[in-house]
Amino acid sequence: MPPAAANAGPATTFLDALAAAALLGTARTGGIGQFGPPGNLAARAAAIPKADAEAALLELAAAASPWARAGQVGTAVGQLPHAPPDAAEGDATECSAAAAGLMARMLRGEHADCLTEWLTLARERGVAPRSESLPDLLELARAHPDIRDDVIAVIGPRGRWLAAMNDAWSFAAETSADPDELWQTGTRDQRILVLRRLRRTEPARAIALLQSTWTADPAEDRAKFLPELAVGLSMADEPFLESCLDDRRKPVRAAAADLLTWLPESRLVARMTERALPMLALEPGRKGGVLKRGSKPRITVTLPKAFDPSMARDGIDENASIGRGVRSWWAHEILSRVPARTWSARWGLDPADLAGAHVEDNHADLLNFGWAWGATRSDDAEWMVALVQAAPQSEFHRWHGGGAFAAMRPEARQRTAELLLQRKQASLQVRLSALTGTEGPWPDSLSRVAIPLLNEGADARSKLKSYSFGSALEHAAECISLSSAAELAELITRTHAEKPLSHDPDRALARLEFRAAIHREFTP
Amino acid sequence: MSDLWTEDRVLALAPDASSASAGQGLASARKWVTLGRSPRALWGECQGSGKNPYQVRVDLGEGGPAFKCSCPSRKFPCKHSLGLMLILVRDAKALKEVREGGEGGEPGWVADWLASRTDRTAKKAEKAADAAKAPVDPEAKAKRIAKREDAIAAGLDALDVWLRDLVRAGLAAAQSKPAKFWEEPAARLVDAQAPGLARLLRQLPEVVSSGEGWQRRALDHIGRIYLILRAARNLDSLPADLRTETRTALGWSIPKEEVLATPTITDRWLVLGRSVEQEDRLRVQRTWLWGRASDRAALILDFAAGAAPLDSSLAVGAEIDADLCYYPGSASFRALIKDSRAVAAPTTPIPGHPTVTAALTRFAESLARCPWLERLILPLSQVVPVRHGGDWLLADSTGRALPLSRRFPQSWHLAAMSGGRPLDVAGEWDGESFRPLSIWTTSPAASCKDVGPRIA
Repeated sequence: MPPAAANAGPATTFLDALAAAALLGTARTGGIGQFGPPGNLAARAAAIPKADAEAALLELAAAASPWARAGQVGTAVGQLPHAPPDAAEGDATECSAAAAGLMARMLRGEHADCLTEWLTLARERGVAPRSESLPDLLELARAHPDIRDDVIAVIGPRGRWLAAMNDAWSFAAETSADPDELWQTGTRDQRILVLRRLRRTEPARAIALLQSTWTADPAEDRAKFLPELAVGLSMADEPFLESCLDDRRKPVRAAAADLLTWLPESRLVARMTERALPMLALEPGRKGGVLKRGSKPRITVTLPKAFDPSMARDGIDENASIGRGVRSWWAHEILSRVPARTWSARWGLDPADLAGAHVEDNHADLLNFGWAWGATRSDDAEWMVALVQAAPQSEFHRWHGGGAFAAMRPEARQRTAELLLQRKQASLQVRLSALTGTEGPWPDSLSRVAIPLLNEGADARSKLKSYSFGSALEHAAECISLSSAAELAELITRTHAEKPLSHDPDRALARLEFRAAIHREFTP
Repeated sequence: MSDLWTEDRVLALAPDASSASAGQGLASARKWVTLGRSPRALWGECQGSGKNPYQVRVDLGEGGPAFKCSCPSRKFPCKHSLGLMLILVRDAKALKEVREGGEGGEPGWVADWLASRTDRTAKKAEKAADAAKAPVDPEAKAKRIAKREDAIAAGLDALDVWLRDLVRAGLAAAQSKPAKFWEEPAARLVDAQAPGLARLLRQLPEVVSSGEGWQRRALDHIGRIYLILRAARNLDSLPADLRTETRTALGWSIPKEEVLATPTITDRWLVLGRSVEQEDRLRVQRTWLWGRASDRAALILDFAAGAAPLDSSLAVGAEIDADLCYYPGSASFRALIKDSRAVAAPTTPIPGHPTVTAALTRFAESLARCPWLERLILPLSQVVPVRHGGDWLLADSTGRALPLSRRFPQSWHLAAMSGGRPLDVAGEWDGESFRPLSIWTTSPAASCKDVGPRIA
């Protein structure tokens, strides 16, 4: 509805009629004789000579224009709509003016990727953004679904009230709805959001909801719902997931099997272990002669002879092998689903001993990759570090790029990186790659060991590929704990002064300053 | 007065987007060799690519801000000046504070510049006073005026013919005309020395292509032009005030000295809002003031061509003690600031109209004095943004509402700030829609958000 129509009174209506005549032109409509203007405009109209049709129309328009503008009375809107409740006790308090200023700068595009840090701190401290920034924040979350949960967590009742008025922001409005009800009535995307949100806070309630409609839900939806269980995954989910292995639809079975491999106590993992144990045999190394060949333990691999249908039920694809024999493929699939510590426990040896073992018949690759995935799926930092240290440098990059290390869950990956940095046995390049492959925010402990590594990298810069060091510094500036930020800034400045970095260090330094400013605003 | 500077206000000073973002990059103490401030000024030495750091100075005193930087940039203000201003609003502690003037005051290179500025201002005032006193040749002046009146009369006749042709053929036919169709009569009016009417005519093509309801708006606009035309032909029969308004609408300008010679109104003026719009090749800035005691609006206009900066000394939300001189005619509220003194953030609520009806009555009264008045600032007390079929309105406690302009881009921000509760809003009303310029909230602290339109 255009504003003027909302305003329609006799004045506007008359002006519309006059405009309709002007639209066609007096050549066609003749003079203004047919108009009977309302109110006191009638007297003025009566006084206009009608003989000259054009002049008469212009005269009447000249009189009607201020007459109509002066006659506006506004629109009657009646009852005002309901306002959201006032902030109650325990609700988030509005952030400081300086914090709001930082938010405004990010919303304008300056250091935009620090927004998550701001939102996370705000949530932890029970602080809400200023209401004037809510529309831009919601608009950003609309365009970037990955920040939606962080935004939704801080916008409070006013943000939800606002979002409920704009269809484009419905993702933020429905948090006020009862999850049970929304689960019953929502669209698939809305239901996925319900699951995602509940898994963070009440994982058991989420799975109860999922089970409550499981048999009635379309197979396509079920396959989309299952991956949401990755968050908050625990043995409480295991019976349900195990039952999903008998689902009629392959995508559902595959999703359930994948989730179960991340539960070392699951029956699926137990079955995998049973399949794996006969595959590996160990001949212990001789003691004492560490330097002599033959002192290492030797491992013999026996590949599975045939594909058992039960393997398919547990998520192994019989014919998916690429560039290797099917038996070796089955072996890899089995080993990579067995927690790596199974082997150190079975033989009573350290991961480092086993990672460095001699493997017969060129099966070293199979074993290393299988173990690496086994370590990843069981969050085993010790094993991962042992494998990285034992592997040739080039090998690590194969794991890193989309491989086992990159697939580790964030906390386990941080622990792995930290151990790797502490032990210093891997090459500088590998340690730097591990650090840049670990997303932030880094805990204090990892940040502390990152500084000496970056110092070491700065000294050996000429031997490194220059891009890797510059980007390592930038990555560190994004992720490092603020307790080590000053040291990092000092390191960057000093390094640049000694020999200019290929990257302009300004970005990293500005980032550190901005992050420090955010933290300052949220420190009580 | 530094507390009246905000990030938004500093960024609005930037001549273009790249200067703004370069300024943001320099808003870190790390980039500066020295940084200082006194009650009047800011300064700093910023390391650029050259050997010596650039010396950057900002005068925040009366009539400020003024900028001076030793860098070779032709942008004004340059990125260094903007960076320095941003440091003031973001991290004022980084600026070492000294007192104003004398021993222990600003460093020499800053103090010298400030002194030269004070001198220049004094000389300018002197020159203006001399100019006002300069003798005029009354005979030559009368001759000039008579010549222009003749030219305008001829221009009005041509306009009359053109308008008649327009309504005879119909507005529908005009809708598909090329730009030339509108520009030619406008150019003729400029030649006839009636630039005010030319400006109104140049707005017509935009009105004609303004979408649904355009014919009503076009007729309204044509009616306004014709009304001025008719008034101009009957100048002698009009009351003095309206005669002046008519001459102003035609484009007669009134010399500043003449305005400043009129009686002054001393009051505490609240800066209610500001908007900047492009008109032809000129940027026009409207700053609306409201007199606390006189309870009336005042409009301060400023014009700038090209990249020249507009006057930025009045901060929306501030209050100034000032002497104003209104332009004769007075229905258009245009005024000049003769002298301004203290500047502060306001402490009491804005003097808004209590209801929509009261505000519209004020507008109608102003129209009665000047029937072609284009717009008026309306401060509204305690209104609530409501959504009505996709459009936003501002409703008062009696349930009456003004529709918001569809060109106002921050309706959702206004709604967010209100949270469904009343707040104070000041904006321009043109008889059809309301365009907010400033939003005033009281919680958590009294604050004013400047939402006036800007063009870079």
